[in-house]
Amino acid sequence: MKKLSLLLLSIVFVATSSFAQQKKTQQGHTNQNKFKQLDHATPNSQHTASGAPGKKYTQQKVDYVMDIVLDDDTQKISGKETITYHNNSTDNLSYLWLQLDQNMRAADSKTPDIQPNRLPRRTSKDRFDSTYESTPFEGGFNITSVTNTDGSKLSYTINQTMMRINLTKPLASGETFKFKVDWWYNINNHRTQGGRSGFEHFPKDGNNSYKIAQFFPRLCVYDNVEGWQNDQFWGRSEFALEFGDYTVNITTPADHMLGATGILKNERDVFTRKQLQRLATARKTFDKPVVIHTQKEAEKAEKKRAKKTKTWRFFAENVRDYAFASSRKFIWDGMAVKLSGKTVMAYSYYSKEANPLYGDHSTKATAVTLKAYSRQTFDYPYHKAISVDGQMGMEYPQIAFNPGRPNADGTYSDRTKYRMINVTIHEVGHNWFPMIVNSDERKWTWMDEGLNSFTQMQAMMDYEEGYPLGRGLPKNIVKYMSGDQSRIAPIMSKGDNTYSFGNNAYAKPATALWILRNTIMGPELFDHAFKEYANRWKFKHPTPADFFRTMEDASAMDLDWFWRGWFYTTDVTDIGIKNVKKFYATDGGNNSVKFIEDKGGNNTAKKASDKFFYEVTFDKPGGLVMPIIIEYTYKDGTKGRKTFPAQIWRLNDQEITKAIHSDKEIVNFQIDPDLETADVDVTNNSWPKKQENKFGKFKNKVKG
Amino acid sequence: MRFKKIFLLLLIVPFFAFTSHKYYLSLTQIEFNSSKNSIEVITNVFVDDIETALNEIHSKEFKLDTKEELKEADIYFKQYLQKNIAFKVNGRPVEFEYLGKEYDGDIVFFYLEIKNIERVTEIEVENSLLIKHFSEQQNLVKSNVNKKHKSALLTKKEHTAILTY
Repeated sequence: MKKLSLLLLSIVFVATSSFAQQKKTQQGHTNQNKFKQLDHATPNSQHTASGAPGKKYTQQKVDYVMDIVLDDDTQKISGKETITYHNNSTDNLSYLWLQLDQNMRAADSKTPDIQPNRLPRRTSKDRFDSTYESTPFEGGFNITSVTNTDGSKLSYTINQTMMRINLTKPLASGETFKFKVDWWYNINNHRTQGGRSGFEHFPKDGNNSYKIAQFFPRLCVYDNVEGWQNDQFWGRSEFALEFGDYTVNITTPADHMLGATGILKNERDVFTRKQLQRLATARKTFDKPVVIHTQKEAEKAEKKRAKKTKTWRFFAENVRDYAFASSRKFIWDGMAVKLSGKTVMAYSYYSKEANPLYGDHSTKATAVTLKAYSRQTFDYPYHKAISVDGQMGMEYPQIAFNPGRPNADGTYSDRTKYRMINVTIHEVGHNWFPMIVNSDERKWTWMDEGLNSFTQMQAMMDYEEGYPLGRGLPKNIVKYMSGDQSRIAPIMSKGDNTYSFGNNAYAKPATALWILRNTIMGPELFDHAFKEYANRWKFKHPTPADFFRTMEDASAMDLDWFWRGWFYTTDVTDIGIKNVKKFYATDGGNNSVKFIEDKGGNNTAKKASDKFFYEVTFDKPGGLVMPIIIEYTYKDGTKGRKTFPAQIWRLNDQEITKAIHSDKEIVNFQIDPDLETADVDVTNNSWPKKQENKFGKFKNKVKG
Repeated sequence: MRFKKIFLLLLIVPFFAFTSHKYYLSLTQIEFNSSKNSIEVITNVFVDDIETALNEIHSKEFKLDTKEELKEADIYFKQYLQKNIAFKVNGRPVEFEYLGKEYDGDIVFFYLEIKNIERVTEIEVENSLLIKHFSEQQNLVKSNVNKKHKSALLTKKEHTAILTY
């Protein structure tokens, strides 16, 4: 044997030296292996290596006391707020940053300026008229006063949608700073001007319905990851906000019905005795919504205009934002929802134009969401969740604005129904991500939208049997992922800068998590880790690394390859069967067995075993490494299945060969038979190659 | 310039925390089946996009993929496809037959067949699906002819591509 290896070695030497003579010295390379560990930020005692908040984790707290007046005659809103900022960080702060989201709608907003556009070839008359109006909408905050609590003026600077409070002396670590801001703004009509808050005008009865959010100057997040999170609000990428306690008094016309974040402290001042009675019934009714303010009563209210006002007094503890909806037109219903350790309320507010769609499904969908999300993460910590006929899709703590209206005759198609339920579940579900598990929405859209779009799928399946799932299923992302690469961004991109926002930040991460749960980790390991992440970071500010690390730390699975492929690249899944060779084993003499390729024809050699042997060569035209799920069809028609973990690709990213032995003859190999991996090209997924393609199948079906 | 700003603002209206597909893409897959002397074409588009287009063109409610779907929907589909998709094979204009459609979730697949084709060296594809209705519409064409894969991305600017094999 020694001689033989020496001989082999010398052959290698000769071969490499002759090669070296013709070519330059070989160049080295960095580690490009797809299983290389990711370089997350160095862990520290705030964000630990396990993905949990560390011993020294700190978070600012901001409390608000606000008096708000909604003026229905002029569609203006004004407020006086006292803000108490608790500097819990270890740093001294020489200034504070506030968000002025409404300035995105100011006449001098730069949001439209960064949007390339062309003239449409045709547009509706209405749109034409509003488009070419000569006076611009005077939106944006009018800041009328910024003072200390003693009334002395505070210095401040506004940069577009951000306002800096210039402190006279730095706010030391552990100290509190209290100050006041007065403001007002013209409310946008969100149906004609767009926006994630605003009012809808109903020309028939002259009423408005208000969906008020992002409506007060509020503090930016300050943390040890980004310092001040004061990226401008361009209109798309959402919010990063601190938790705090809100005391909010809202004054509306006396005949308005209102739903808002927080516990209503003066029910007896704002509700009739009848409403209070029905509310009490709703609080004890678990099987269906109870109408608290009826359509008939709302229709009566919308015909009149109260001259008087009333004030709704709310207190919201430990929320990261505040929003409300108010209208004379609102019908109101609600039901109680039992979670594992408590009872919470699901409510809906809707105009008659949204009924019966909303009456049928809105509160029910809210209740299902509360249960399904609580099960997947943690019990809903607040006392209620509201769904509003908002004709948009937007979430705030405890309150969400949702789309969908029936036809004028009250009928609605399944598509309208499911779209409305989809969005309601989605927006109410946002109470978890990002309202409680409070990631930085402005920077990482996928951390709330992706996780939420995934968690949403379980609630949809709970809603009714056979609920049509769409987004999040692997087969449905194929069209996007196999599209034009120049218009696809990795998931790990800032929301403002991505193409195909909905696919990038919602559908693809939801699909990735679906695959992770069902195909890579299995439900048991995934569910535990996902729950762990949600619990670790509830009421805190997680980063992507905290999510990635927790999922691995809690499951003993190295998933860096998965995060890299799915989140950091735009690679696609495409695994194929390149070739299958069949073998039989024969007696090789001397107590050995030889494998001989079976090329068909008559085999006279004596078989040493009844087993069947195959060498299957898999190739991988796609850049993603993924498990190989292979289904065997045996000659007797039965099937078997085997999954080779993704790590099978660790030493060769292009092609691998696997020896397979079987007691029964295999007549067909099929990769990913249930379309679990978002394989973009399934024509190379079987051996022998399928004779009939999708087209042929359809043609046969039509003929038949 | 004031009007311009408002106009721009209106174009960026759809800010949603929930987005539906929100991208405009159709995919046309072309395969030459030499054993059957036919070119097999599958075109898929989003159901709501084609519905929007047809509703606009015909001022009707198509209610696609619902129980109340317009009975003559296939006639309108055929008409729309013939108006917006055209093929030349080896330089010659050819007709295609509309075999039918199939819904799958939010996508509708159209099956088209070009018959009596013995060999293919070049396919010219014209595809202007939905471009009039959605300025961002992209029409991706992928083909597999004589074991060669060729593709093209058609947009508002470019409706036609020539694929040679």
